[in-house]
Amino acid sequence: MRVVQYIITVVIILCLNFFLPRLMPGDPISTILNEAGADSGLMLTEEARAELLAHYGLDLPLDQQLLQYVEQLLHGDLGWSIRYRAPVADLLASRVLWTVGLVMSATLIAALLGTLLGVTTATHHGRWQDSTTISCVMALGSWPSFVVGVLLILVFAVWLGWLPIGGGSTSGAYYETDFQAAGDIIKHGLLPCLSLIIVSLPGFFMVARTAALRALQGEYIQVARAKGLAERRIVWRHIFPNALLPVVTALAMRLGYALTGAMAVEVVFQYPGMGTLIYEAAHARDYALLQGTFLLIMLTVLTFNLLAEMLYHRLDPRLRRS
Amino acid sequence: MKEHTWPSRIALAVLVIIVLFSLVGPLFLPWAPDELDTPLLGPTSDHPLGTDDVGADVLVTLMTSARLSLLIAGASSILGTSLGTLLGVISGYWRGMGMVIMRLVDIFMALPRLPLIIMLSAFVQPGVGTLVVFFVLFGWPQTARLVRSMTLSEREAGYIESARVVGARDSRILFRHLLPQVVPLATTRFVLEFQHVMIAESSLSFLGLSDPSVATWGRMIHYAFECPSLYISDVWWRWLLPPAAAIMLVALSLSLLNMQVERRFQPWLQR
Repeated sequence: MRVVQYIITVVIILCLNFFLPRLMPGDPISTILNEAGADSGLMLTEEARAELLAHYGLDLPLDQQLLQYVEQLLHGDLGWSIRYRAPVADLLASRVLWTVGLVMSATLIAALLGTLLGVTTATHHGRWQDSTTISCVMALGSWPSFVVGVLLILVFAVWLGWLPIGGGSTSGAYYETDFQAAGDIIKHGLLPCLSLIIVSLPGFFMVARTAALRALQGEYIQVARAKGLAERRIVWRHIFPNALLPVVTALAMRLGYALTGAMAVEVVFQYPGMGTLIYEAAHARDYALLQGTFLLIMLTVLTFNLLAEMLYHRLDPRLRRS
Repeated sequence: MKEHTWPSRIALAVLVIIVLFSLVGPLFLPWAPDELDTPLLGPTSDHPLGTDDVGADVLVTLMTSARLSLLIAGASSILGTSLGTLLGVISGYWRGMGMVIMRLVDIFMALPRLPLIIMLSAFVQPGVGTLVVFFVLFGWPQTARLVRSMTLSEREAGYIESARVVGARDSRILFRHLLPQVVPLATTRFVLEFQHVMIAESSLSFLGLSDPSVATWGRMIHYAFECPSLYISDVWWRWLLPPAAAIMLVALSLSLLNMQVERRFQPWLQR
């Protein structure tokens, strides 16, 4: 049932991806001429225009175009970027690792910190530590990622001057060892990563806290207490694993948010990932590039959502049995 | 636990002040929004926050940008939660229609919301109206699902049964009895949705994906960001920081308000 739903969703996304650029005013050829090649002074005769349309398969009836589109997708052909004059697939390949590295590390750290914080505050439920932490975390989580990024730049790069303002690595730098190169990349990634951690931590925190609170009411906790187990052992051996369970689902679900959050953060930090690619593509009206990037992002989000659901059923023995 | 209401009171006061600030603030300044002076002036007595790259007063822009920021978030969240509440109650009351609506909800909920809105915007460069349509379109399903599950349990309650026995019409049960019951839930959804739309819209405008006429705080930050002397002059604190701080202030106030609303309606919500 769930799989059917995911298939419907993928079909909707593919359709949107196919029809959106075709619903734009004007045909793609005039878009190319006006937007991308405005300074080239390019003029087209009727025959040349027809030839171009035929070249891109745009003179075919819509249903055949759709078939062609799906066929190209299945071959991994995402089209040709007008802005960069390169295949979209190659461009994505050169950017995807930056974003994945950034988002993955930020999400994992946020999940870990959020869970630890959530469990700790849950065990202090009702005391001032609990309510203060909740207020602070909620406050942090209500800010847009790019505003957090801007503030971090102002404090750590402009004011203190500790870290670079942006970029993925020092341009034109020569590294003697791989460690130096890695260090440079990490140094550039610190602030963007921190921005993403700050905006995604509250989600994990709330999920873990709720689960820990529920676990605390379990009878096995009373049994553990009656046995005279140390409080620390109860928290980390009995409550922590229970709090971690929903975090695993949230982990995959929040990757989607992290990906979009990363988009704005990347632009703030001029980070060479997919977010900046979308930004540049949107400004150059490079539809093929936009289509390719969005397709990749949405399929990633959907895959992770599906994975999360499957993983949850594997991890929770109660669900496995039923 | 003792209940503190002062954070939410402050939050409400801040929101009211920001609304007033956006509506009547420009009247007290000698500059009209479209009146241009020398570009990139530093702070003077005429221009407390200086001017931007085209010479418009930054403080006036900050005030007028608040209007659209709040209007888009307000309109989208009111329409989205109302639609969701209505469809939620209906689908909870009439089972058959409910199945149809819930399948629709399932599909919408499986779509990655923010990436999709960003993608649509990148293609159509939405104006204010289109933005509201996007946010309503992708905002109602969450509310509908929550309201439906509450209606499902509520409709089994004794007083609904009594109303039916007395011969009350469906529409009366729906609007006079069930709808008021889900108002607390809808209220918390509204506050959360307001915040969500506010953040989403400012991100879109910051990325330059909305129509340039959508002059909001996010758009202001977008322009400030394109200024080459951003970090090496006073531009960052007098042009970039004010709208960023404004967004954070509103978001923070909404968080505090939401906590209070949830606490206040707890007995209803936990039923």
